[in-house]
Order: sequence, then structure tokens, then C-alpha cells
Amino acid sequence: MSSFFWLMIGGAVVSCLVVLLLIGRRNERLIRRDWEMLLTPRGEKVYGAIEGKVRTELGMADLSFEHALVYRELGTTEEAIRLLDVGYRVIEKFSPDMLRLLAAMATFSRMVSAIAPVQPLRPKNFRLVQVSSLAYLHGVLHQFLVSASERYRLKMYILGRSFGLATRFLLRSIQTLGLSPEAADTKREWDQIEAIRSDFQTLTDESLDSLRILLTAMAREDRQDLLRQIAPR
Amino acid sequence: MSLAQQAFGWFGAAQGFALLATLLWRRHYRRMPVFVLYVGGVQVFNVVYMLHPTWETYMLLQIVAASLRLGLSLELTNCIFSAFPAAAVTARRVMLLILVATAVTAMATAPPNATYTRMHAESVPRMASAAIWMFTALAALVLWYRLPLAPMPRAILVGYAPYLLLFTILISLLFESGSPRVRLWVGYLDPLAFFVLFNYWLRVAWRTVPESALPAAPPAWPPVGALAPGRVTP
Repeated sequence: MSSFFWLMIGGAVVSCLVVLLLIGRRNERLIRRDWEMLLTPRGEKVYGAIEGKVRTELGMADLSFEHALVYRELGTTEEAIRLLDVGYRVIEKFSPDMLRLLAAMATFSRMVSAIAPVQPLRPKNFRLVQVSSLAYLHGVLHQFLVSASERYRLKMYILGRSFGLATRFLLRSIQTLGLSPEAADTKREWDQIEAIRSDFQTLTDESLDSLRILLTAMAREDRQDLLRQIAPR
Repeated sequence: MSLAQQAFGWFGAAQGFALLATLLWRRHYRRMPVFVLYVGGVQVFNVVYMLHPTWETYMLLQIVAASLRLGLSLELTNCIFSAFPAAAVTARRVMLLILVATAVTAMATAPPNATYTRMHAESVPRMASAAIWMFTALAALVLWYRLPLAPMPRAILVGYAPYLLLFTILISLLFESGSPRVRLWVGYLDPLAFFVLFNYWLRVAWRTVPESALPAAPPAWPPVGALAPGRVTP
């Protein structure tokens, strides 16, 4: 063995022991907690406000759909359709807000590359075939993109399209039920409404999770412009 | 190989298989498959060496262990940095630099008339040295970026690098002098260090469950106001 090799071993002994000593003295629990608390107070406030607004609106729509299902089981079809219509109106208002939020989030996608990995949507989490297909497409396209920011933008786009698709299907199902409430294929429409409800929930969860990733990444750079843009008024 | 060395060797092998069983039982293979392969591979070739204690089987054990060790260090890089893309890019560059530097120094310092056996004897400590640098660099990057470490990767990082230091020094002395006294010391110290290391890993593997084995759930998020100044988050 050459003297250079022994010199390298000596260097490795010193550096390795110093680094491992520092690693050994770290408090892993404290570090994990720090990572979980990366949001700035303002970012956290914005996230809380958006989450509250979104969950409330979706909850209202969900309640209408739930009551509609109950009335339908009781045989009061007209009242059930009226409640479906109420739920749709809430969704009709909720969906553009959500699309605007996703568009604003996509604008700031560059900041995501600083920290967080972007996970593709899982097709099995969706019940509508069309939305599930979009999630499959997302999974494939995700593999072709390299940077986290591109992947993030793609996810925002797919989420936006999925919201649009689910809203359209909801409208179509309600219209079909309104036109022929006693027809044989009403069960299929009610099943579709049930699936749309579930998919709206999943899409909202995914959107909020993406927002959290963005705000977490942003907290490191202390950017206030996004907060101003997406903060609910 | 003395009777005491043989007894210690078999005891160590039994512990190694216990570690392998624990890793499989606790599903650590889902998150760290190369580590499980390393533990299994080393134990199998260790048993082969104990049944046929020749220079060839010993070298075979060392070459297999060195190869799997490199794979393990790359797996550890992926495991620690996969959630942090910016830090992962730096880690990959550092790993590549160390691998290239090791290859270049190995080529540059190899004597032109070296025999096949001598080349093997030279390569084992060099590969171990490269692994030490890789583990040290990983630990340094973890400190630099203040990254969280899961229990099992932490145990590998903290336990394996000191063992490798001892192993590299011992095996370099063995190849350098080849005297019976050095061989005797290496025969006792190396299995003892390996025994302590595996015991540590066994305890950590038994006590922890890999994160990927847990059912998938959305990340927990503190309730609104929980992070406000003055509030204590558990």
C-alpha cells in the first residue's frame, strides 16, 4: 500500500469520526419537527383560510348530495333532484374558484424545485373512469418530465381538467335525472353522482396537498407575492 | 482458524441470519432492498468461507461484500435524499466524484507487474476506503442540509462507517505484512467488530418499521393556529 493510501485513510478516520460525532449528537425528533414547521405564520394563515373555505364549500355540496340520496331512497324523487340542484350550484361556484387557485399555484411552480418532490395522482383513488384515465395519463407524462417545477405545473393542469370534467359530468347526470326521473337508467346516474362526490373530495385533497407543498417551498424564500395573490378575499 | 475463532464466527453468522430474518419480518426490504441483499449475501459467503476456509473463499467473500457495500451506499443516498431534489443533485455529484477519484487513484497507483491476486488484495481496501468516504460525505450532507434521518438509515450510517474504518485498517495491515500475528489479530478483531455492528442493526431493525411499510395516508398537517408563536406543538 502506498503512503498516499495511508494518508487517505488518516483523513477518512478524522473526518468520518468528526461527522459521525455530530450526527450522533443531533436530535432527530427536533429536526423532524422543524421540517414539519417550515411554514411561515403568514403562509400558515393563508393555508388555513383556503383550506377552511374549500372544505366548507365542499361540505355544503356534500350535505346536499347526501340528503338527496336519502330522499331518493325514501322515494321523494322531486325533492332529491331539487337538493342535487342545490349541490350543483355550490359546485358551480366552487369549481371556478378552485381553477383560479390551481392556476395561481402553477404560476409559482418554479419554487417547488427548491424542496419538495411532486407525486403523480393515483388512478385507483378516482371512481370516474374519465378522471381515472386522466390520472393514468398524468402518471405517464410525469415520467417524461425532469424538473419538479414542470411536474408541478402538469399536476395543476391535470387537477384543473379533472375538476372541469367532474363538474360537467355532475351537470349531465342532474339534467338526465331532471328530464326522466323514473327512467330505468336512473340508478346509473345516481351511482355516477356518488362517484363524482368521492372524486371531488380526492381532487380537493390533492389540490390542498399541492398548495401545502408550494407554501412550504415558498416559506424558505419568504416570497409574499403568492400569498397576496392566492389569499382568499 | 482456531476453535475460538470458529465458534465466534458461527455465532456471528447465526446473528447475521437473525438480522436477515428480522429485516424480512419487519419488511425493511421494501425501503432498503440492497441492504437486505447485503446482509444476506455477506452471511451466505461468510458461511461458505467458514466451511472452506481458504484464501480464495476469503477473497470471494471480500469482493462480494465490497460490491454490495457500494450498492448499499448508493441506496442510502437515494433513501435519504429522494424527498429533497436539490440536495439529491449535490449528493449524486459528490458520490460520482468519489467513485471517479477512487477509480483514478486505483489505476494510477497499481504497479504494472501486479498479479491478479495482488490486484484483488489492493482493490478490497481501496473499495472499503471509497465506501468510508461515501458514508462520510453522506453524513456531512445530511448535517449541511439538516435533513431528517429515519432510524434504519441512521443506524447504517452511524454504525457502518466506524466499522469500515477499523476493517480497512486491519485488512490493509493484513495485506501489507501478512505475518501470522497480524492475521491472528485480524481474525479476532474483525468478527468482533462485525458482531457489535450486526447487534446494533438487529436492535434497530427490530424496534422500527420502515416508513414505506406503513399504510399510505395523507401527510399530517397541524391544525390552524397550532404553529402560531407561543403555541407548543407536540
